[in-house]
Amino acid sequence: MSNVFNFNRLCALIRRQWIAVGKIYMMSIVIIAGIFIAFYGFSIFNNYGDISTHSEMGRYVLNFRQPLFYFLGLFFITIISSSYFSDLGQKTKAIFELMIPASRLEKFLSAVFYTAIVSLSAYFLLFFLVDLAFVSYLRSIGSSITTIQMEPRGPVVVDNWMYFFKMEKSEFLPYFYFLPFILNALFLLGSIAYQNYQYIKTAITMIIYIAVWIITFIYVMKLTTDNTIGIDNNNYFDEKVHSLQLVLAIGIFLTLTFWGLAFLKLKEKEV
Amino acid sequence: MITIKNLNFSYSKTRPLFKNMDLTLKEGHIYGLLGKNGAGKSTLLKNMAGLVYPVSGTIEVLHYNPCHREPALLQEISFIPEEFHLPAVKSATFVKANAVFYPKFDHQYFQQLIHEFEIPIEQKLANMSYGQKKKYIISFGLASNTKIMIMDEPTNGLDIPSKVQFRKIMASAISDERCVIISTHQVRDLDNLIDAVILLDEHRVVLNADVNIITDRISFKKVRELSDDVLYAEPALGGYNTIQLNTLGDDSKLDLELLFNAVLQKKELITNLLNVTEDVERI
Repeated sequence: MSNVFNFNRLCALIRRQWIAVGKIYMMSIVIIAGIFIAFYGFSIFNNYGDISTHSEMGRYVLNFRQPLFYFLGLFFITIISSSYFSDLGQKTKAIFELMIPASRLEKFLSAVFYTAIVSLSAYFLLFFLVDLAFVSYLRSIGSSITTIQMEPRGPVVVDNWMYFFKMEKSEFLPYFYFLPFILNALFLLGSIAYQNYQYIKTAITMIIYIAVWIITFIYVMKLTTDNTIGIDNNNYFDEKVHSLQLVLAIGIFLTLTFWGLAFLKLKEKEV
Repeated sequence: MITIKNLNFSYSKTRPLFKNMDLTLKEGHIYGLLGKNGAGKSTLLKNMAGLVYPVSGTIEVLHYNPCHREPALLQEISFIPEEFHLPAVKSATFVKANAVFYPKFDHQYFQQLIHEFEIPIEQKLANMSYGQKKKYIISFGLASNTKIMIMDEPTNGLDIPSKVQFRKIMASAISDERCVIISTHQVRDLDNLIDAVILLDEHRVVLNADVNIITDRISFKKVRELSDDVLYAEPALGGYNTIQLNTLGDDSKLDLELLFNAVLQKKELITNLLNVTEDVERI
């Protein structure tokens, strides 16, 4: 049996880890579901009288969904990622975790499986179900499900109570798909590197790093562009898409770097 | 089975814990690891298990470097720490999740140990008392049938009947293939259990000897008055507990506490007598 990777051992480790993280996962899911329900419930309750009479209310009643979905999702992934290896900071738990006969690669893959794959899937599914339930309810009581709008190109059917996952997303959104993964990598690294208060310490470190980079970037740009005039000479990065591609490439690179650093930190973790 | 060469270890640069330590442990023995507070007993065990990394030197356990934490080695080590956490699950769940990692795990033997230690397995592990938890992980470790068992203060928290059971079970658990290392400062708990003594002091191993050889060379006697051939003595009720040269081939019982104190206070005399050199070759 390989000392580096064995699929059966990885599966056994994933099953074992459920004992350690399962309860936290289930509690987090319940809390997240509660927040979703609270937002939907509060919004419907506040506008209940108008829902059945004004067809345009769909836009107002449900306009909290995008910020809620993105910000809460990113927050959720940081919490889950930061809690996974936090046991390694406690001597009483760390010995058992490090002594379990699985390779370091398997332990790391198990962490990525739970904190990135399972948590993101659970979050998407939960939001989908809550949205499905509430929007279906709104569609049943709303004034009219669809209206016809006259556009220059002709009449267009507008869905007034649209399900979140059917909504048209920004064309630039895919360039930021790396965000949950980079946060996952960063908070996993923090949960191994710090002995205690892993979440706070990682968050503070991240904020300081981002601030330093922003200030440095502004300073360098100011230094190089002060008293100069911008000339449009078909620069490659004048195209917004190209800038976003660069952001995506840097994001992927940093995600892989932080995952790599987390793996190395796990290798050298001591009790 | 375990070979340590020139081990240097420290938690801080200014305070070295081990300096050029050498130690060899063989299968078929139960070693008692003794030392003063802060001598590094737990740290030595962690070095053997690969839970901490040495500054320099080599550690070889079953021909593996424990620092690499390879599964093939980890499945041959049971580590029973002094302080530990058990999850809030029932025994069946815990065993189902963890036993699969130990290919030689003996479920029947585990049940037997649970019964013998009278552990209430219908309770969640986290709700058990400290002593019950300790007996539980000792049972799990023993049932794992690993070649190496490392136990750090295993009798802490055990009541008197449990200590007796522990000694009985450990004595029956030793085999020609297995090496058990028990670290403790409660030396009485190791009476009649260990067959070799390792003593740590001043950053190194000052004694590593079989119990048979110790009792062959020195005898432990209680006397009313001290004579010239007494190597070390401590006042006791109605006389003195002494260590003397065993010139007559007496069959005395090893008094670990007395030996421990004697080695600490008359190190050279006792260790030279037991033929233990500085780099601690086994005698």
